Amino acid sequence: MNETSSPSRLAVRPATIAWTLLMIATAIGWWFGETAQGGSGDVRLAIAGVLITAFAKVWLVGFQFMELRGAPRLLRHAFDAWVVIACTALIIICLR
Amino acid sequence: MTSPDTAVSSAASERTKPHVPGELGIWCFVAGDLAVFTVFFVLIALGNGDQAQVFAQSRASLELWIGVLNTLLLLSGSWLVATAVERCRESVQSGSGPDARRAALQFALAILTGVLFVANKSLEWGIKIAHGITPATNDFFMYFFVFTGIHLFHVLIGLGVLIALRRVSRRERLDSKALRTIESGATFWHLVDLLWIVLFALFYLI
Amino acid sequence: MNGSDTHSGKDHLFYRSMRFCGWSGVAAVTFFIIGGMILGGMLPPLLSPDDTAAEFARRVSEHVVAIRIGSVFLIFSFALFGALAAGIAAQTRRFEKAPAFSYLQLMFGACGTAVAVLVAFSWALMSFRPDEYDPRVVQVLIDFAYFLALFSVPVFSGWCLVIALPILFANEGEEPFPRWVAFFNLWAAVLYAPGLMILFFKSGIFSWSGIVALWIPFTAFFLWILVMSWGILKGAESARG
Repeated sequence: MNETSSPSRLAVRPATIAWTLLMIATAIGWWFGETAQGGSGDVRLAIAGVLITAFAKVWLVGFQFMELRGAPRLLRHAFDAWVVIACTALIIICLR
Repeated sequence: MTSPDTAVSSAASERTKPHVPGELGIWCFVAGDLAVFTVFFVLIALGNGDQAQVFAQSRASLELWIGVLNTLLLLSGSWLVATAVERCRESVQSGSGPDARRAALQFALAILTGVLFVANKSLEWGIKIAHGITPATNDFFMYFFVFTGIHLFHVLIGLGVLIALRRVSRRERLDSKALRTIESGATFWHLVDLLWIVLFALFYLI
Repeated sequence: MNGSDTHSGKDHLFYRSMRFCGWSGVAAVTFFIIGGMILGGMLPPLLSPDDTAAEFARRVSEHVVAIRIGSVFLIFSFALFGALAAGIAAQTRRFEKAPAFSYLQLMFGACGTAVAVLVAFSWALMSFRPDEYDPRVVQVLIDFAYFLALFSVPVFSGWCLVIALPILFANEGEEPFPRWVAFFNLWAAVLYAPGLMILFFKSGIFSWSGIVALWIPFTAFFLWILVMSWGILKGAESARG
């Protein structure tokens, strides 16, 4: 387990891994977005894909960048709960 | 350079003790702001449902690359801020300066990403307005201009916060109070990034 | 440091006046719920900026008794803002050597109270002779009331800011209110900002009857009153003799 206090002897900082994942996720979200607007392929699935990707990115920003991974469980789980609820609610509304 | 004892004991205490980044107050602010923006997100999604045609057409007229660039800028800014905070923390624990000086540079680069975001957004708005598209054009653009405008206001405040954090990180000696301030400010910046991720998805992608 | 620190002595008169100020805040919220929400038609709004003037006159005439009684509750509610303002400033003052932020708070609080009282006047006036006034006058009176309440962002957000700053600048353990109250004030200050948008929109969520420009600032404001009331009551405890 990588502590955030470890000196940069580590090959790659966890924050950098997170950044890379976020870049990839942005590309994935973009692809879903093209599908959702293009109309070729399942538009509803693409919309859900856009939202799930977006909230996965949001969660990663909270977990790693905002250091919730090392925060008290109450705070961390409150955030996790919000991510799930907000994402679900938006998917339901957008797919009405 | 951390001595073996402090490295081990600080590493151990980092592992075992849960730590609220910054202070409780900033998390109250974050929770409150997130609650309000969630209302905004729901309103956008509802508008999308009510006026699907208008929204689809308007959305298609947005320049996707501008949105993607803005997302990449803020994500990179957050990465810079997160690593800067880590370096400040290392500097506090080891009691040495060099780590914190790297942090100051990273804060400066993060400020640059923020400035580029503002410039990019101004460019986008400028193009739209030059084409006669304003908040009064239709509901999509009303939501678009106002909500990204409120977000832009947050970015501007965030830039002010980052400038202050950079100043703090350049102090001779960082104590735990300074670290707490830096963590709080960084948390606000990450909030700004987080909000944009969802706004980007709702306005540009769906 | 200071030979006379003003914030830790027992002072029974201070304690009792602060209790009054704190409970005034609670009373203000209660009276608003009765006068503005249940009876008066302020929140949820009875009308909308894109209704016709004739519609304004008609609806007000229809509910004229409820609006009048509601207006009485409203004026009591808003007048009590002054007591809340005084309490906040007094608590802040205890931790200052010379008055600084406490004076700023008094000024912003006084201005806010004056603005709020005008809202209640306007609400009452509109129900005085709704079928004799030109319908457009009735419309202007409601527009006036909402503009006073919502467009006054620099007053109310400024008030929140001058409450937050002395807390954040204070030394550890020397804060007039707990630090989270400062962040709450910053959040509230930001949430009032959408009120400025009512000038630009006559329908939809950014108009004076809309979710973003009306409900969010009002909700934040009344939560803020409750938080500050609690802060005053809690701060008074140390002076209890």
